[in-house]
Amino acid sequence: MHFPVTAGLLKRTVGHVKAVDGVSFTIKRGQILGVVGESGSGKSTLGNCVLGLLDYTDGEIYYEGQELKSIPKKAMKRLRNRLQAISQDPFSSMDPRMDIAAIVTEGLSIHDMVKGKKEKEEIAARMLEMVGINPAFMHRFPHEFSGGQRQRISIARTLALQPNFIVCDEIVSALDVSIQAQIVNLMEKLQQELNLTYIFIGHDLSVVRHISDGIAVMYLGKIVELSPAKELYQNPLHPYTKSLISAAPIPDPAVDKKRERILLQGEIPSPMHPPEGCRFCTRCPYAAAVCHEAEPEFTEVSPGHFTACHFVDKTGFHPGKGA
Amino acid sequence: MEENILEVKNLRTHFIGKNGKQVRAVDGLSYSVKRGEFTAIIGESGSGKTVGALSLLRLIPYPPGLILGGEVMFDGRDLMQLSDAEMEKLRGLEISMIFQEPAAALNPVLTIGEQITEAITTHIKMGKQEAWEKAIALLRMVDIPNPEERVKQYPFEFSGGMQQRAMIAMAMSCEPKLLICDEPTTALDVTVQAQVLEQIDHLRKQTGTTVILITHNLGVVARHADSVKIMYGGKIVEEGPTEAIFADPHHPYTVGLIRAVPRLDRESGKLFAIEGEPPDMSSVPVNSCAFAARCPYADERCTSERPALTAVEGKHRCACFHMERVIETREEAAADA
Repeated sequence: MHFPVTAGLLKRTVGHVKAVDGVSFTIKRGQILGVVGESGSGKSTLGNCVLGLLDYTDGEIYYEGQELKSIPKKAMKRLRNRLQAISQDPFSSMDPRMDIAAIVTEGLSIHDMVKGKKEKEEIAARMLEMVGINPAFMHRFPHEFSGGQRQRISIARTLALQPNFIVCDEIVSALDVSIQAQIVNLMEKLQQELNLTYIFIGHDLSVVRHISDGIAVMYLGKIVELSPAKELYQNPLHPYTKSLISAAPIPDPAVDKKRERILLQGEIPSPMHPPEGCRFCTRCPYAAAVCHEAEPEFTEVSPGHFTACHFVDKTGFHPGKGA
Repeated sequence: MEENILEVKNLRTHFIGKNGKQVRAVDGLSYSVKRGEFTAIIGESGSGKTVGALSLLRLIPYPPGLILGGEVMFDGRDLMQLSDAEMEKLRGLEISMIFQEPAAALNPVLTIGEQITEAITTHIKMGKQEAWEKAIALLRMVDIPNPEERVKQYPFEFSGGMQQRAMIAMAMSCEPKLLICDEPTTALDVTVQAQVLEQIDHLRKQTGTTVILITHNLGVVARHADSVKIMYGGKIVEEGPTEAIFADPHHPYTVGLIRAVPRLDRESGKLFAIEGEPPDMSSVPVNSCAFAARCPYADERCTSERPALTAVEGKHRCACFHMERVIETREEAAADA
């Protein structure tokens, strides 16, 4: 997905941001794919593309065997309720003048799924119940709820449309630790009960690892490593993944103080001017000449475990090779 | 090293809400910090951790807030008894504070260098040129590349991580005895967060400055802090050396908090969720444990009497009537896992 960058009064295009660039992956039904990365890594853009909300520049996205772009507009509208999203800040996506019953069922009217008022209230009650909000509160307004409760309401609104695929974009990042655990548990319960498929986007590696089956690590618009969730911590291959894991402290001083620390230099470069060669080469402690010249290929190292690094082969990570 | 640089006794800061209700944001806060120590204060939103720190510096806006009472002994003086002018002199010179949003704390129309030299010359008699040189040295100290050029730039030309480094440089410019960091890395990316925290820890070791880190991130605490204080409902519910708190938590809230965070290094199973929401400190009765409404162990005593901090072992203290039962249940749960 490339975005034009405009400047001046006439909004002439002065360049392109390759927000997501050459990314490939698959998700099986009922699986949770975690996506981690820092700001500007393209993880939200990826989520929006997958939902068909952005007109991606190049490439193909297949949902249940159908290429999204090939689906006519009308058919896409009918499909839309199956592909849903939950965002970080539910408050900004709720009309402050609508009560939560209306908010939860608004999508149903848009999709002509339900017509009668009574039926809608029944659905609202059922959905709120499912996410742990007392249905007796269904005629209250968003401002009367706390951040955690609003996130539950936003989940209820999504579920009302009976989706089977949900992009969860940083849905617990703004919440306190104790509330975060409640929402993560709720998302896990719903996934199991309704056999949902998630893309779970986050920057907290421990939360993403906890909920996901597989994890994609993104850096400057590319997936640099894709791995089964458990394997990523035990056997990270890409130097960026290693540093990300090292930067995430483990809440147990007895364990954390013994860990190897890799401190990266600098910050993520501007996606408008990504480095030549490997995108991580400007911050990589192992970067050699080849990394500045050629882009590493995204290859499968062991079953289900992919990475893009010049120094990784089937036997593991060998810095300095070929330098 | 055993000497206390800071002793807070029964500090109370309340706010009057829009509906006229009194919110007891800080409600009998007492703790002490040793000279040169790295202390963390953990708490969720509304626990009073930021208001507590601002109260030390007497930076509570009145109205709606008011420091009702308490004692803050800092390096031999009670800050609550100082005049406004004396307090003004002390801020930035002896106690510095850095905040969550560096972009909001920096002045957008002054260069980084102008802001750092202003911080220096406000407190220390120093020529302009000399202060400018010092600003460059400070930026170099916090690992800003090419400080001679960077010092002439404006905040918008700095990335988030560099802005926070510049804030640290400014806060350290007069070599304060105490540095209070209020969620300094919450707005930063994970790898930058690690850089900034290492920086703070490194400066502390170099200069001997005492650090109070206010955070909600248990991992950061485990990695950097010597001691921990856990705040809930405007006061400390448990405190002690970091190792002791993580290995042997006694307060049901601390136990819940530690079990609510998934672990990167192992399977966490179903996360432990503390039921309910943080308390509204305008409606919790004065004579009640603030955690009682969410606590599985709460009984009548918890809602009619406020538990005081009592010694567990050495410096480890906890405020709960039901510690034995908490530990029993905790050990059973650990055996099941």
